[in-house]
Amino acid sequence: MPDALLNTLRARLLFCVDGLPLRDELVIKSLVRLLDHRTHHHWIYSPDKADLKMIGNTDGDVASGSESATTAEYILRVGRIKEHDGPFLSLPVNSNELELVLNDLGIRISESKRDASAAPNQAASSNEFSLLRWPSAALLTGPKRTKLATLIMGRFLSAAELAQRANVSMHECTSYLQELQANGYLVVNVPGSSIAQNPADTAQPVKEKVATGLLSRIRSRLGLK
Amino acid sequence: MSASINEHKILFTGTMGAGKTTAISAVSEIAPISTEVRNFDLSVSKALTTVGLDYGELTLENGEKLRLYGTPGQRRFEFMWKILSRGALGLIILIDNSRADPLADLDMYLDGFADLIKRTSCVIAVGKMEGHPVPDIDAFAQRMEGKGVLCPVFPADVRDPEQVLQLLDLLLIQLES
Repeated sequence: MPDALLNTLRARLLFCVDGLPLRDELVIKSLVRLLDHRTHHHWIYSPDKADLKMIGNTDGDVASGSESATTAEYILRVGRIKEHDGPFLSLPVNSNELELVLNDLGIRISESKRDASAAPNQAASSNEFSLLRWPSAALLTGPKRTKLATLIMGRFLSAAELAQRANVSMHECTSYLQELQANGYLVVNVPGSSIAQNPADTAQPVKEKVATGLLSRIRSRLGLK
Repeated sequence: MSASINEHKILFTGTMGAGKTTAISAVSEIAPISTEVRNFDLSVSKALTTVGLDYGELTLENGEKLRLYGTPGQRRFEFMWKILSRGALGLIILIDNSRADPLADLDMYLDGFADLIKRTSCVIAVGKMEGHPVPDIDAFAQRMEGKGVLCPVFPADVRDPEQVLQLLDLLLIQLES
């Protein structure tokens, strides 16, 4: 097995699907899950943030609400006829072809991210943190810490973002993050790399979106900042 | 998705005496409407208990209503939990740690409201811990983890309005992207 492959083995990579008929989207997502024991990387569907975006160029009904705001660097076009240069997956989807293309793109993505994250001292300050499980009571001394923990529940935030949203000092925030990390409560995401330091899958159930305006009005009415 | 354009709701659930009515009273702008009757359960030292539901409300600045529902606590009213869950923004579970098996109470609500918790947000407040420190918060957290639920759990006294506001704050944080 090539060294490059060994180094990226089972890296966690994110993909999203856009512009495909719902049926094809579901088939692809199901096949990716089924192929998980064979693909060289652990592919996770993530509509909001992805390393690889699968884009359909088919005619016919396109899944509603499938527009994605992702900024994936790698695009995999999916369709019946290849109309563009670059990676392509033909429809109807063949599982062997899907496996090959995922492995090929997975290596490219992992290598490019590893190069990007090699830039010294850049990633450390912008690492993002997410809570793996609810902390022990010993680490929840006071409402500030409860709020900090809640803010990184089910989402990744950098220390700066967290400090700002919790309205605490950067020092207070980073020391708490260090305590959480030392006790194994955190997943750390290095920007430019979708490989979390903790291998646990952080995927949480997708929550319903609530209009920001409504939440602001509720906060305002309750006198909450 | 909320129940309707102009109406939104948050649910409070918990066993008899856990403080649902008290919590709603702490923030509601109207005196809570409760369907309470005389308690014949001698194991609970409470003259009245909620058999239907509690209701309070807040009017938001644009005229929308935020409705606060306290659900009946007993499992036999589970059918009402499903009805009330429709369109709710989130759930606050109040645990009475002086009861015989608070972890079983938690299980009951995590199971009964599993769909709501999965799609919205949840906060768990454990009351009466001063006199009844066992099970501790870590035991509740472990029980939640075993069920794949990640949400805040901590001691709270809902007789203190500030602590009720903290519960709501943490609920809203989870809904904010």
